[in-house]
Amino acid sequence: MIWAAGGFLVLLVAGTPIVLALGIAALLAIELTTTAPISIVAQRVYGGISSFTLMAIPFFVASGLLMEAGGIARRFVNLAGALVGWITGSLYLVSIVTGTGLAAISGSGSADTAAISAVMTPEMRRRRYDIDLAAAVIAASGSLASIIPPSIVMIVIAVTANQSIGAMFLGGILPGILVAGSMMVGCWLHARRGGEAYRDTAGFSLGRLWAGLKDAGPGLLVPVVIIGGIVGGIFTATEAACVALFVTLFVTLVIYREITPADLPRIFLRAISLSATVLIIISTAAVFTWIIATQGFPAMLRDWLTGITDSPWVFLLIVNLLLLVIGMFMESISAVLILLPILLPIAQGYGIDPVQFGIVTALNLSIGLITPPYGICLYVASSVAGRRIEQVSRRIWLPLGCMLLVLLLVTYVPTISLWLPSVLL
Amino acid sequence: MPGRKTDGGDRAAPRSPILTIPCLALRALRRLVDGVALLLIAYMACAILAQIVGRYFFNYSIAWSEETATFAQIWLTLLGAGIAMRHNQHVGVDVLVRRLPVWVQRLCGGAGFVMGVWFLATVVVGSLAMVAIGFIVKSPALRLPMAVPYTALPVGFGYFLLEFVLATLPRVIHPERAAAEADETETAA
Repeated sequence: MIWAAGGFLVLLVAGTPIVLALGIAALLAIELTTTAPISIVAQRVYGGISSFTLMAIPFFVASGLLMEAGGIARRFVNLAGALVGWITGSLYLVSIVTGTGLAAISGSGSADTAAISAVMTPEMRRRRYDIDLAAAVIAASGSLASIIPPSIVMIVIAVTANQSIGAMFLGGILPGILVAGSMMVGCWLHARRGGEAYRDTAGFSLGRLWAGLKDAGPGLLVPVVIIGGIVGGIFTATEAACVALFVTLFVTLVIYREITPADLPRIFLRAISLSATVLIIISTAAVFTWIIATQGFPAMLRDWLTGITDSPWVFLLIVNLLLLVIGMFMESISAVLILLPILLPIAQGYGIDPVQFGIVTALNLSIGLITPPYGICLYVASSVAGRRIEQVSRRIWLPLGCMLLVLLLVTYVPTISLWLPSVLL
Repeated sequence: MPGRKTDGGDRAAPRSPILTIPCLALRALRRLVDGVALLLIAYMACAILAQIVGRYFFNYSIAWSEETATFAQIWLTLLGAGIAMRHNQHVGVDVLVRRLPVWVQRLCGGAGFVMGVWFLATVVVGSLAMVAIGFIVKSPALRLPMAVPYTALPVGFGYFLLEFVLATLPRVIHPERAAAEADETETAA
């Protein structure tokens, strides 16, 4: 146990890729403390990735990358501009609405952040917006991708927790809308007290809204297919992901035509390598969690926690703090894979619904995407804006505060995450 | 033919004849891996689509599609891990170590390198036994030998090991140059 956990932390700090740090630490622990044959490592690695459900990940990643290469971000920005462009502080609101829309077709926060930043940052700079706050808001808008379906993190959570992906996806919808809504209110309140720049808005026009809808409409087919297919019991999540991929191919190649079939190998290879980074961590984490479990660590932690408190409220508070801190330093997928198998049985012991617990985990880790020092969305938004992470971090409080508020709500009001799955599935 | 160089070959720095052949072989191998990976994802998408179409339009359940697509996915993941290593896409936390003196970075990098090779080689060697058993064990739906998916382990992790050595060794020797390189800011999640 000491070898596995200690070895992992040392390797992590030394800059070893997480996928290898997990494997090496597990191998160290197996070699030094057990007599298990070494072929067990290969077996666990295989067991970790041999899953039909996980196939949804490469499909969703490919369809998200295709949409972004096909020019969906600009179309969503236009639609969002028609929807909320007339409100004070319009560009903040447009970024948030665009982030919500992109989150519904892609599962990757960093890719969404890059797409929104590329379109919105020049415009925000031109209109003399506070560029650090702008980058912070864009980072938070991009991070919605891990809460709003389809979400790669949610798939990993569902597979790890042995829950239905459909239930997790539906459970994420309301929390995602709450985060987007609270950030919009927060930005609007901030902009009302702000300078003249924020009052430079375009008037509302139905014609513009209609034009925006027509242009962005085909892209909106993707969430319709995914959610409709899962809710209607037509597809499994893997099948929905596959259909979403074909719909995306049709929309980008036939309707939008900003990419050609010649671009496909490049885009698909990127999708393959990006999704492999997720799936291969699942395989080495399988070895790691196995060795941790055989050495009785989860039971130790459970006894320790139940010794401290028998209140699920206090337990959830401790979990939130733990996940927030871990999210600051670690990437979401590996955090889920290491922590969820340990925390979930304890949560169920306190009578907490696994779907709600999964949503709380996802929300915490999406906050981890925008908190320094290691927040991938914060990182992407800052670098596109040409600002240092420290500068943007100083303005992170507004979007971060909104997300924390929603996190508290979702933690202590289970209905928010459980209502939609219970009504629709 | 002397004097004529294949285009693209100039990117590979060493021009001595001893290194030209390994460089060409590496490029051919990477092409092959990329091509196979693209075929695999295309196959997966088509197999799942066939499953849906079969179920709804022909009222016919296809047993082979799910199993073969899962096998394709295992191959895709393991080859993709090597492709990702080539592009330096595996996530790691190097914020801390970069602030340390170069010799400490070299030490950390060197230790991580040796242990990484150890882990990857262990999986390759350990999986050979699985492949051997896999010729006897048959898959549940199609009765295919399980060696079909199991072979992905030694092949995929072997390729991962190769790309790991190629990507990491230069950074262990010259950590200060690696720090100047552009960061990979993209993750799937």
